[in-house]
Amino acid sequence: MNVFHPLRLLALSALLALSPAAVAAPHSDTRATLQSITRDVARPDVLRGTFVQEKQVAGFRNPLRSEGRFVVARGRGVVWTTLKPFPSEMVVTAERILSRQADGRSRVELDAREQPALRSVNATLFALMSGDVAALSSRFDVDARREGEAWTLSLTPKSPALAKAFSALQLRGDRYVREVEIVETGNDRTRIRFDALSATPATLSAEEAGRFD
Amino acid sequence: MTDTTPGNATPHRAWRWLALAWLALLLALAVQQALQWRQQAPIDTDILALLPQDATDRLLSDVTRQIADANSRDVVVLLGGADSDAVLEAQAVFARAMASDADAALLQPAGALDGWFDEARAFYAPYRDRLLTPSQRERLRTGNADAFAQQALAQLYGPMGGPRLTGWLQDPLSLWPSWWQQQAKAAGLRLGGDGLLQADDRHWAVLRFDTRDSAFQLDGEPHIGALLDRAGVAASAVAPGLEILHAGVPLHAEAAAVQANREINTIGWGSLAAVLLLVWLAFRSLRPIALVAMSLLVGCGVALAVTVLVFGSVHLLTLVFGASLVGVAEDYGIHWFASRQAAPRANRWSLLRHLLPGLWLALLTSALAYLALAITPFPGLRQMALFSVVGLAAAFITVILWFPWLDGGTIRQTRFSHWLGGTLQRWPRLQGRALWLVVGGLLLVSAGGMLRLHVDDDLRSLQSSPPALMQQQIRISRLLGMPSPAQFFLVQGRDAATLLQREEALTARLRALEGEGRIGSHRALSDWLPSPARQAEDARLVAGVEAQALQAVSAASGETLLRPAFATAPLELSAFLASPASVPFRPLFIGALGEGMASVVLVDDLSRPEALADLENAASSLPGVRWVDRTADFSRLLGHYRTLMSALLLAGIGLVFAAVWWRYRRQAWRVIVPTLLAGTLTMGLLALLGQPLQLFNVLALMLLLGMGIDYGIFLLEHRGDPSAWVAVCVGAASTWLSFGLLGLSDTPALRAFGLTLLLGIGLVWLLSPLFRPAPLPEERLEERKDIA
Repeated sequence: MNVFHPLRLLALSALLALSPAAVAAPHSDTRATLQSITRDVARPDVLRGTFVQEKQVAGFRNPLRSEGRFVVARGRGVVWTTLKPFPSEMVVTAERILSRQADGRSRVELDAREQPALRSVNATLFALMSGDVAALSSRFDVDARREGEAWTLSLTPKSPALAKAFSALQLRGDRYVREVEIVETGNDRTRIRFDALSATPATLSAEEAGRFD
Repeated sequence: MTDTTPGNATPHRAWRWLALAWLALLLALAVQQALQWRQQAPIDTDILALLPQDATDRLLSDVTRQIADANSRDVVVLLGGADSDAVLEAQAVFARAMASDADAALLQPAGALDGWFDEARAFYAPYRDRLLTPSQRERLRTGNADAFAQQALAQLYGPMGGPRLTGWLQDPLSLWPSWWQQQAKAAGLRLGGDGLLQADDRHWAVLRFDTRDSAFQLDGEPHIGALLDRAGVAASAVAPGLEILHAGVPLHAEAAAVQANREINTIGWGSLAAVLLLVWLAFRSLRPIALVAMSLLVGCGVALAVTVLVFGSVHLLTLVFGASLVGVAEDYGIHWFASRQAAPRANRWSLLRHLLPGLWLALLTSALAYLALAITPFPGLRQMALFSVVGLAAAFITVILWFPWLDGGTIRQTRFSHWLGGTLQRWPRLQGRALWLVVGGLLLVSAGGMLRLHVDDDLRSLQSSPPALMQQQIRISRLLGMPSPAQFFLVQGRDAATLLQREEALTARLRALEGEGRIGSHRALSDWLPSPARQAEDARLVAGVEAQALQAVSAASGETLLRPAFATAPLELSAFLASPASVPFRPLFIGALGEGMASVVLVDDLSRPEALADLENAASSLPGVRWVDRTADFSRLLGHYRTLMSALLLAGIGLVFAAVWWRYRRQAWRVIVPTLLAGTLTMGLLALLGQPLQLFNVLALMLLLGMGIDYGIFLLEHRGDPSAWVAVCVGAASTWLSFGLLGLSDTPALRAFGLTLLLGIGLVWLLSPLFRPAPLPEERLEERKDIA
């Protein structure tokens, strides 16, 4: 019943670690486009970068802007470190979702032992990273456009449960995902821009690995 | 009997009218029953229908009934497999197969939970600030305001945003989603994102169905089971290795109906065939067979009709037990024909006059024995008693009113009767030392057995569901966290506020036990509708913490944020009960009771050994809270009546001995000793076979006293008369066979009944002639025959 949280995470994590090969499209031209995107998108084991996020939230006049950096590691999960306007960190792994505050205190937001859904979410997430076509197409209707290097994917949730959280998602990128836009059902909008993307070194440093624990 | 004119060998006119009146009554009953059965078969399969409606605790009976009724139509199917995609496909195939089946009307898919969640969420939304889980309350009380502010900011600025069910401003600390999460967990709704349950290293699809009204049929075919099996085969085809579990009251009812149908046929038709075969062997003509069969059919038919008229319906177990009546009610017809065969030239009306006192006595003793069953407060036993007594009386009336008219010709002598009658003379007669040796030896065997006797008053002796179905039910209960309907807390209060507060005091104790892993989770109304006091307290707490958090966010973002308004009045019981949100929890609310109202709190998973004691302690010293264990209550009741009926049995023996002494004086022991020996020996043998002593064994011994004593009386009354012996043998053989067939029943209580009487009747039959008196001189026997 509490499907919103994990699915929302799934969508976001999936986008960060995008592998468009997972997308099965209904139209043959879309499928061809998807195949070309799949071919050209890098699939690194570890991806690092910085982000700028702007959120338009109901009740706020101005967008809420935050900045920071992130690490995505195949088989491990995602560490999302916000630096501005104030430091905090969110860690997503197959076992749990953890938040760390500025003072170093951490809190388990969601535990896979209590919400088995998290496990399947992560299983799907990692399946996505390894290019499992069935997983994403079972959750989203996908539309793809491409002009030269740049491409755009529009995802619409298939399941009513997922549709309760998101009305639409959009991804823009080239060799990497460069921008994600999320429209929530309540019309809150989030736009995330990625910069300084780097796939080297291809293994996690000890410091980075420590953040996943 | 005074209706026959003495000396004159023709019937009194009144006798003719009585015979016609009996015919008219039977026809009227037949018409009335035909109409009633055509509407709906008044057959009851519910095990609760057999349990006492305790006058002192009517309330508990009603509560148990209400809990049981709440899910009496539900059927749950679990499809389990290691691969979630295969399970999802199997689920779709199963649902399609169910919908397209020719029998699809039997089970309709029950409403999905999705719709309920949306309705409930909308209903609760204005009261969001009044709903906290215990851990949230604790955190908000003790937590630091800065930490909450930081959390709110992190969720606002973070990429994941945290789980949301409302706009950020409505719930800046995300209290609402975690309230739902905890509620879902406590209610056993641990579903994965794909809607599958994850347990035992498997993914399970949960399908729920409802039975439609009067889906129940007594044709001996498992319609619902077959429907589920067909869908299961289709689902297994797409998901090899699929594990399929079924549970639900309708499946137990159907299994009981199929089983009862089989047993009624075995016992009823088996006994009838045996009785008619014996009659054929003894009398070698069609008329006795037809007339005895008629008396039995009339007996059983009237028994069924009167039971339905009195109780409104007849329980399946009554029918199974009633089927054994065939072997008892045949006595009257056989006595008639045995006497006719012994005195072929005698006038039928004089013969009837001669027979009547003995027949009356036989009916009376048997009826009294059966009536003893009705002393217990178990409606099931009362039904069986009524069924049996009415059946015996109807067969008796048919014999005395109709047989003299219908049995016109002569009764042929047969070699079988002659041979059977002759066996009595060859049967040894015990005298002097041999007598003491045999009695002493048999008592020794009995005593040896009885040393190993153990009692068992488990309620489950009335339960007859197939073990496979029971195991699936238990497994599903564990997987889905379904509470036991027979064990619960009863909470009472003068108004809703008091009631809910008392529940909260109880659930606080239960949570402590749950935390220690001593019991499973619980279901309480107050978890979904907190008491007004708690609602007010939580709303105050939430308002304080959220106002501070909003202030911090305002400062950080430079915006002016105002906390939106929530409902000003608490959520009331009446509004809750009227809303769709309460649908899954309405059975927990009992309603008005005495001066106030009542509710129940159910507990899952009582499998740990001390769980019951823990729960009993949990209720202690809490005002208005009471732990109810209906299973233990009924077992105690069965034990109580086992003791009481044992005492009554002893009193009955005393009474019978007094009656026999009054008639036979110093010969009285010959009548009573065989039955007593047979009874003690039966108990000893049952103990040696490892059978526990139950109320039902004691009741069977009561019947044994009522029936067994007849054989002794008959042999003493008709000293050395071969025709009396023929009647005893044919009667005992058919009784013995009927109860032997009852001993094959899958219902433990009926099996105990059957086994006890199988042994008991057999032993009395063997023992009675050993204690018979010396035969009368030849001329006196002849003299007796001339009377007829």
